[in-house]
Amino acid sequence: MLRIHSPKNLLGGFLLVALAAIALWQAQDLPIGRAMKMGPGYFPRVLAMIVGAFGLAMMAMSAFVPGPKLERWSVGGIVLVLGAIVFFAFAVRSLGLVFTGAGLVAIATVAAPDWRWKEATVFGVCLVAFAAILFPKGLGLPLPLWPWP
Amino acid sequence: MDFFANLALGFGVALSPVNLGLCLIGVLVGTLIGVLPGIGPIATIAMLLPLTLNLDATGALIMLAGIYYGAQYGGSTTAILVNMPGETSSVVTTLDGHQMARQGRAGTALGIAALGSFFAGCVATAVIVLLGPILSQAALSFGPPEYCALMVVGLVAATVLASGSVFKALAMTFVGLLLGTVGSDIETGAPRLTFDIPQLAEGIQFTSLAIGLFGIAEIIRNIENPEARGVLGTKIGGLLPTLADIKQSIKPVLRGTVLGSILGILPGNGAVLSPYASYTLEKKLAKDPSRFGRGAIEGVAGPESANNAGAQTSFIPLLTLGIPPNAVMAMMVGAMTIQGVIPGPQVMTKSPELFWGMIVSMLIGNAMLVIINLPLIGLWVKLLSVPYRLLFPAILLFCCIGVYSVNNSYVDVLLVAVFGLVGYVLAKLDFEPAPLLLAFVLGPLLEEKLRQSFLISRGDPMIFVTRPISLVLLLIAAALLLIMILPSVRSTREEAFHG
Repeated sequence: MLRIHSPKNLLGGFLLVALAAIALWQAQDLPIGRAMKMGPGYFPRVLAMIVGAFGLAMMAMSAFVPGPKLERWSVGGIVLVLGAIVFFAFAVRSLGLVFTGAGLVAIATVAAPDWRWKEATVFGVCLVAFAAILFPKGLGLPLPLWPWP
Repeated sequence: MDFFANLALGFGVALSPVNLGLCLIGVLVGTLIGVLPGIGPIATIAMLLPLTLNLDATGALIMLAGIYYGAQYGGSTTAILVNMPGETSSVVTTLDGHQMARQGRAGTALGIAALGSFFAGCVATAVIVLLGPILSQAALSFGPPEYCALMVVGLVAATVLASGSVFKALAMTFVGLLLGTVGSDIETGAPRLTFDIPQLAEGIQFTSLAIGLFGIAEIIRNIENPEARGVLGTKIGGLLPTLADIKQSIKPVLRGTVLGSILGILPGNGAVLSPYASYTLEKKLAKDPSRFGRGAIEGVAGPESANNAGAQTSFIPLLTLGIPPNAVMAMMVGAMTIQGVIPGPQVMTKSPELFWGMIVSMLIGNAMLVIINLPLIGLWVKLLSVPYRLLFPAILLFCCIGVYSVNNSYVDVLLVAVFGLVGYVLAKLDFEPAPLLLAFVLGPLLEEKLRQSFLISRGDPMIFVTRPISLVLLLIAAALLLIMILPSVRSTREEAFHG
């Protein structure tokens, strides 16, 4: 049985191959054309194949070349930080900047291992107020402040 | 007398009250960001793009440029006072700068860093003024094959100069090129790799990619490994170096400026290498090398000058050839495109007020940095004591507002989350994201020129070899790749990045 010497590179290579596969699947209906007159599918397909080749090579090498082990991943941090962004993306148009901003700050703050209630609340309120004044008012960006018009 | 006419035009533009104000805001914000570890200039520029949306192109670029070189400056403040590089470019400064601070000479270190940077910035600006017109003249004679070859050199150099595995950096370059093809095809308009999402028809929004890969991924990693920041309690001391200090520093500053100016122009991230190169050089030239690492003023003066010179001259390839030499300059391309300016040799002829105004503003900005920042150092130090748990929600909020405002598109914000995850995974797997970003920016242009080249040559790839300029450029790229495979160079490269 093959022993994996570098799990990092095995996973990295696998992800590259997966990316290449997705790109090739997406590009399957695009006309390739010829070298002289390349179609829209030519460049993406060539690139996807190269990326895939890099991925395969990395996976193969991970069985022979020793490398570092995988580190621990902070799932909580990822979920909360990315969750805060996703919340902002979906809420900003309907909830307005004030509530969306407060929600984002609240979700993100919890991601820090050492957060404190009082400090976070005071700072969060100031931050949202500052953003609400600076962006729509000061810079005239077309952001709704409140859910009502 | 074009030279003086151009400079006069530049001063006219840069000295207008609005542009002076923007330059000031830019360098202040840049310093602020540079001082704070954990948020780099790429994420900052992306974050602050919406601030510039309502400005004219010249004002916007003056401010963004200010952020960039201001950040270089602020990075050294943190390096000296906290022994932590605020930016990658100031890693070297921690070696001797912090030792000086421990000996109660923090003020001198900060002062010499500022003065050296200022001098280097002025010289580098002069280099841009002199070289700019020549290079853009040359670039105007470039055909599609030459552009292709030039971009290949840039991409190869970026992978060679990335830290970590060259193999992985190359893979990242191709991933970046692949991501760059997302969106409508330039000739037929056919949607490519868009997953039938209409908002992707215009391609992946550059700011989403940059903020996700550099800003968000960094935040997640910082939460994961909280770092203790010990601000030095001792007095900063007098900021002005003594005559003896200056005497000791003059030559290192001069050498650092020359090194930085040259390395900054090179494609790839030469600007980042320049402080390392300068430090090594000073240590070699010193009568007593053992002083280095124990508070040698040359070890601050040289690298700081080199770093600033490199930061300035890396604008040359961007402004004259339209090809960004590093990821920060790629960010500037994004900013220019949003403003409707296409970077390239035509910038100088079509909008001279933008070109010369921006260059002269760098001179003014550097002067501002010296005059304004030295008294503000106390404030910057206070900022360092703001805990990260309060800082990052603020960064996150500004990033989201920034990305959303560019196109008023919620999909762009979602993409930030996607690329934040990608960036985190890449960091965990030891992939360097900088080549990806650069390739992403260059990709569409590379494809366009490649297709044009093949059209000219009727599908014959020999066109890249039969044209002399393109051949030379490709040989340079090949040589760079070959050198990387040689084991001896590999080990010195690792030393440079980890030593």
